[in-house]
Amino acid sequence: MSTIKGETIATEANGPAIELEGLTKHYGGTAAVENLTLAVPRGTTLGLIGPNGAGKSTTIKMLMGMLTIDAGRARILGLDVSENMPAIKQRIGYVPELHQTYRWMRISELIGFTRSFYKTWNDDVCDSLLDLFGLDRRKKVKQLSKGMLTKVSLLLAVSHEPEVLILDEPMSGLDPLVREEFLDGVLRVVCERQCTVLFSSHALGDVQRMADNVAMLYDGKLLVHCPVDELLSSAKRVRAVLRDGVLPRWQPPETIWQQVQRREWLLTVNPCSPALLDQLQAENPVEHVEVNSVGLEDLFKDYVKGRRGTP
Amino acid sequence: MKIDPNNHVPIFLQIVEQIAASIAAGVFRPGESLPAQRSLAVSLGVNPNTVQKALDELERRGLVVSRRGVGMFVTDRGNESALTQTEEVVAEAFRRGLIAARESNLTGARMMKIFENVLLEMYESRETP
Amino acid sequence: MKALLWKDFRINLPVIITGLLLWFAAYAAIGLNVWLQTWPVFPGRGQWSEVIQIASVGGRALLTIVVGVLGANAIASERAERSTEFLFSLPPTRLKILTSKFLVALTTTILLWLGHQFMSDVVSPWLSANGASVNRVPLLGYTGGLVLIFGSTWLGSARLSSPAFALGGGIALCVAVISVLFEISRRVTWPVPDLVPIGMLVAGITAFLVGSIYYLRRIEP
Repeated sequence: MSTIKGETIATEANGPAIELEGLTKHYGGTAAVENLTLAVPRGTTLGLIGPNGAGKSTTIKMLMGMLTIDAGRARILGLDVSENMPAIKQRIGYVPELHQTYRWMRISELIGFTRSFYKTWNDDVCDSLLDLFGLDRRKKVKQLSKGMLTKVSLLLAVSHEPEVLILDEPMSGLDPLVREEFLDGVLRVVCERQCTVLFSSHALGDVQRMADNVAMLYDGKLLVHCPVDELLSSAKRVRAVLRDGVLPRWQPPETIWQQVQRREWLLTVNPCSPALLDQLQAENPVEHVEVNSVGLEDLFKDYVKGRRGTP
Repeated sequence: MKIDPNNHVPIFLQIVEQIAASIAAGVFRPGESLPAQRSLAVSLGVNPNTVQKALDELERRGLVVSRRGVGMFVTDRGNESALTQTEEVVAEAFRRGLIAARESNLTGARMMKIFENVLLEMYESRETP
Repeated sequence: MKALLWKDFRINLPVIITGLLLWFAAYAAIGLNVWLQTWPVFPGRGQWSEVIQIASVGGRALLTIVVGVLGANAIASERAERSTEFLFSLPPTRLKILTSKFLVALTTTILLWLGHQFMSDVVSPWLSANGASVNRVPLLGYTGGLVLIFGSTWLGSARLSSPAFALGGGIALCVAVISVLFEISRRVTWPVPDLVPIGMLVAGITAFLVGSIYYLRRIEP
C-alpha cells in the first residue's frame, strides 16, 4: 500500500496541474462538452478560447465541482474533483464570469469572511493588491462598479496564494484600463509564484499575451491545443491566383478554412510546409502562390468558419 | 519597449527583436544587465514564461549571457550581434515590400526609384533642422 | 463555521428583528387593550397575569409566521441575491453551509419560543395565579405546527428561486398537509391519539429532509 501511496504523491508533485480525461457533459440530448482531454502543465498558462456556447464555461464549472461530470475525469493537482473538492479549493483560486457576491458586505467584511476559510491566507498579498487596485476597504460591495468588483473578485481568489488559478472570462465587459489593471494583478501573482493559470477569454490579444498554450473549443470539442507561438509560426494564410475559369482540384488535408472568389483562392492551413506548397502548386491550376503569417484572431475566426462550413 | 498582442509575430519574437534593437541602439551596453524576467513580464504585460523564452533565444543568438542567480548580461560582442540581428530584421522587411511589389509586377527600375524616394524622404527630414 | 454563522445571521437580521418586534408587539397590544378597558385605573397583578398568558398564546401564533419566513429565507435568499456561486467556490462543503443556515434559524426560533415560555411559565405565575385559568397552547400540537411550517418553507427555499415564492409554496404545502391530516383523523374509526400533531411533526421533518437532500445534490445554474 505504501508504495502505491508514494507513487501517487510523486505523480501529484510532477504531473500536470490540471488534467481532463474524456470529460463529457450533456444537456438533454446535446453535448455541451464532449470527450475533452487536455492537460495544463504546472507553472504554465492555458488560454481557453471558443465562440459562445462552445463549452468553455461548462468545462470550468465541472472543474470547480459546480456541475456534475457525465463521463470522464477531471483532476486538479492530481486530485479527482468529484471526490476531493474541499481539499482542492484550499489550493486553487477562482474568478467567475459574473462577479456576484454579498452586496451588503463591506470590502473589509468580504475579505474577513473569505479569509476565514483558507489556511494559507496571506494578508500581505491581499493588502498589496488592495493598494495596487486602489480599493477602499470601507466601501460596500453594492457601491462598487463592475470593474472594481472584478478586482475584488481577483483579490479574493489569489490572497490564499493558490497553486492554480481558474478564470472564467474574467475581463468580459471591462474597459481597457481596468483590463490592464486586472492583467497586471494576475501577472504579479503568476510572477510571485509558479502559479498555473487556466483562463477562458474572447479577447485573443489577451490570450496571446498571457498564455503559453491555447486550447480552442468548438461545439464542446477540442479543435486545437498547442503552444501559442507554435500555432502562430506553423499556421499560414495562403493566397493563390487561379488560372482563368478553373477551380481548385486538390485541397491540402491541413486546410482549416478556404474561400474562392473570382481568381483568388484563399486558404488557411495548419501546419504549413514547403512540401504542402509544392504539392498545392503541382496539383492545381494556379498562377502564383503567396504565403503570409496569420494572427490569432484571424486564425480563430478561420477555425470557426471552417467548422461551420462543413456539416 | 511595447509589444503588440494582436500582431501575428509570436510575442516572444517581438520581445527578442525589441531587446536586440535596444542593445544595438546602446540602451543596454556590453557587460550591463538586462531587467529581471519578472519585472520585464509585469512591465510588458506578458506571461513570465514568454519572457524567459525570449531571453533564452537572445542567449542562443549570443547577445546575452546568463549568470546563475544574478541575471542576464549583454555579451562583449552583444552590440555587434544585435546590429547583425537588426540588419536581418530590416532585410526581412525589405523582402516583404519586394514581394508586394512583385505581386503587382513592378519592374526592378521602378522598385529602385521607390527605394531612393523613401530614403531621400527620411534623410532630408532628418537633416533639416 | 463562525464566518458562515455570522453571514447567515446578517442575512436573516431583518427577519430576526421583525421576530423580536412581533414578540414585544403581542404583549404590548394585549396589555394596552386591557389597560384601555380599565382606564384610568392601571390593571392589577391578577389581570396582568392573565394578559401575559393570553399574549404568549398570540405571540406563539405570530412566531409560526416568523419561523415560516426564516425557513423560506434560509436558502432562497442567497439564490435571489446571487451569492450562491461565490459561496460554492469557497472551501466549505454544502453540508457546512446548510448546517449554518439551519443553526441560525433554529437558534432564533428557540430563543423567541423560550421568551414566550418564560413569560407564561415564570412571569405570569409570579404575578398571580389568575393566569392559570387561561387556556394554554398544547405543546405537542404547537411544536408539530412549527416543525411543519419550517419544514415546508425550507423545502420551498431549497427548490424555488425567491424567498417570497418559498414562503407561499411552503404555506400552501402546510395547508394541504393539515387538511389531509384532519380528513384522516375524521374518517378513521379506531382511536389514534394526537394523530394531527404527530402527523404534522412527521410531515415537517420529512419536508425538511427532502429539502436538505435536494439542496446538497442540486446543481446551481
